[in-house]
Amino acid sequence: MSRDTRGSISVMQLTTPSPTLDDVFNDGQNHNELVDADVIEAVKENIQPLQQGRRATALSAIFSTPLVQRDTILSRKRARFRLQVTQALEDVDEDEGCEDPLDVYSRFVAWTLESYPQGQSAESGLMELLEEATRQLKGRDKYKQDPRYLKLWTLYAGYVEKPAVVYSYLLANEIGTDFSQLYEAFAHVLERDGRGREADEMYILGIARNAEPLEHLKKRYADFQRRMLAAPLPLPPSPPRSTGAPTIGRRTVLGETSSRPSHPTGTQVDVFSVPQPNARLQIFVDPTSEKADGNKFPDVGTRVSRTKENRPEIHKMGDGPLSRSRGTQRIISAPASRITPFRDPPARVAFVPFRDDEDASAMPPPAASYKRTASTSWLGMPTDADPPATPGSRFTPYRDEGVHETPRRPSMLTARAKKGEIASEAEALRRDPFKNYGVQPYDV
Amino acid sequence: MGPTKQARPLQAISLKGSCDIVTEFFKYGVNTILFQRGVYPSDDFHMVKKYGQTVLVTQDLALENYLDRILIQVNKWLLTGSVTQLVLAIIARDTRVTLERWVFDITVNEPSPGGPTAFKPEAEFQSEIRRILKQIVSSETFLPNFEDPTVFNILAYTKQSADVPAEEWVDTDPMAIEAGKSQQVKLRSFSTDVHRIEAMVAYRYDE
Repeated sequence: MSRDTRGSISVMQLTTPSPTLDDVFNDGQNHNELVDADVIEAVKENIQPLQQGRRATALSAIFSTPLVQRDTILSRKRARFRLQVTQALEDVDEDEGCEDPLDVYSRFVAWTLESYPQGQSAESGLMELLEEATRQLKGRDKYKQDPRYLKLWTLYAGYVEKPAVVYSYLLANEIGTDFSQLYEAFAHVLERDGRGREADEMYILGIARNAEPLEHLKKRYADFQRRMLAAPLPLPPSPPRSTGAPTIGRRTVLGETSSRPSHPTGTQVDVFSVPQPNARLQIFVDPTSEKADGNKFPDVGTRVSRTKENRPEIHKMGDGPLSRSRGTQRIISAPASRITPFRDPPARVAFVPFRDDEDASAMPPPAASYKRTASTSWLGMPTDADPPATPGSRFTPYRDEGVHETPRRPSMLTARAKKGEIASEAEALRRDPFKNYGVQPYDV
Repeated sequence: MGPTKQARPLQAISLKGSCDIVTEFFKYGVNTILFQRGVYPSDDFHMVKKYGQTVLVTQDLALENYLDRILIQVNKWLLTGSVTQLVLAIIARDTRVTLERWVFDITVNEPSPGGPTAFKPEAEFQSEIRRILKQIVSSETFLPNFEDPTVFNILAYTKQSADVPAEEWVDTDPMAIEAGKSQQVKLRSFSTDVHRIEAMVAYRYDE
């Protein structure tokens, strides 16, 4: 979209002739700069709005630099941050004098948020960064009540599919529990999901714990109550829970019935009956019976463990064809007379191209791949594969080299490969925020 | 630019007409800003047709009367050329910190000596106004959300010679945003033959 320079608008020039992103970010100078809204409006769909707003000067600088230049500048800066992070993480054990890794990560995240206005994307890697930052620093007690650490977690929760999971984890692990921001954010998410009663509990919990700033939390609670009165949400049946962290919903068997089960239950169930073979819907049977674990939220679990109902049990592939009974639908098969696929009648006469007697090698053999089964090569030798270099023929037919990428532009390829990885990594993180935690995200 | 044939020449816009247009623009502009920024709950607004599109205007009678009184005075000042700038300041209700300033500069085009040469068709400045309103809406992308309740004030910068009714208007400080925390974005402008209005928003951005 071209920037309009028609007469009626006087475009204010930025103070530096060719603004580099560094200038704007190393801030301080350009506070009285007048940004042209047209620049921002032209790309407004590419800007993810933030709760705290965005710096217009930064936006203008970013979108005024051409894309290629932008990329190089940003990757340079990002490499610098990476270095700082590694240094900070190594040094922290030795002495307190050097960079606090939380500080480095916070700055890194803030820079990423500002430099990539589109938010989470393959280029920005924002989500992986947040995941990494929160995970790397999770063991350290001194950060548990640090507001910056809570902020990283809150940002992370904003990008995953089920933020309630992340907040439950924070509560169970006593992270940020001094701050009302945690309770407000958690309650907000619960309210959005229609879990009004749990949201209410969250506010009460925060107030009972005297979270700071308390007045703010109370005000939010009052607003929430007013909203609830005005439009009461249908409260979903919540499984019985203690006042601690919410447990994973567990249901015990209410009773066995002899009739066919008609609804698969959403939550995990203990082994209670062998699914009847004629069941229209397969009921998931959890082969590992888990002990009810009371208050603790020890393990958000890996993505695999949380979605195991959706994963069919993996059988070793037998020799025979796939058995039909695994699917839920039976496809009516064709009547017994099967259709036989048409085959060309074997060629009685092979196509023999004209050739001079001496010059056997001059003629390329016919493309044998088309008629593997039947034809014989012009040299009278059966061809079942690509024509080999026959003795006496110096001509070897063109053979597709297969996937043999000559990395003419290695950076592009690796970048693309990496993008592919990152894209799926972000998706995986979105679905399971704790996938990199292995089995025990909970530190005793 | 209408390609239609004009049977008679376009009427030059009069000073009064231009002032009315400008005053109307302020009315709809202020309403739009109050709605977009959530100074008043969205239920308080209803849609009207104006400038060839729907615009949101407040239904709250008290607010409407308040704005009308202000705009009547602004109109008078425009006629006498006494007002140079109009500012809509949004401040936090409890802390009285200025969070945003929407600034509208008013300049009067000097009439060219040989009589008015360019007649600006209504459609043109209407579309300019539409673009300003659209920019106000799209400023959502970078303006911060207000967590706490806000109130607004309208400030008018008048010339010394202006006649200021004392009971309604008081002298005040500019309600500027804290130095070093202000981001400024210039929006589009519009002009009639007589007046030219430039819009700008300054907002508080905490690092």
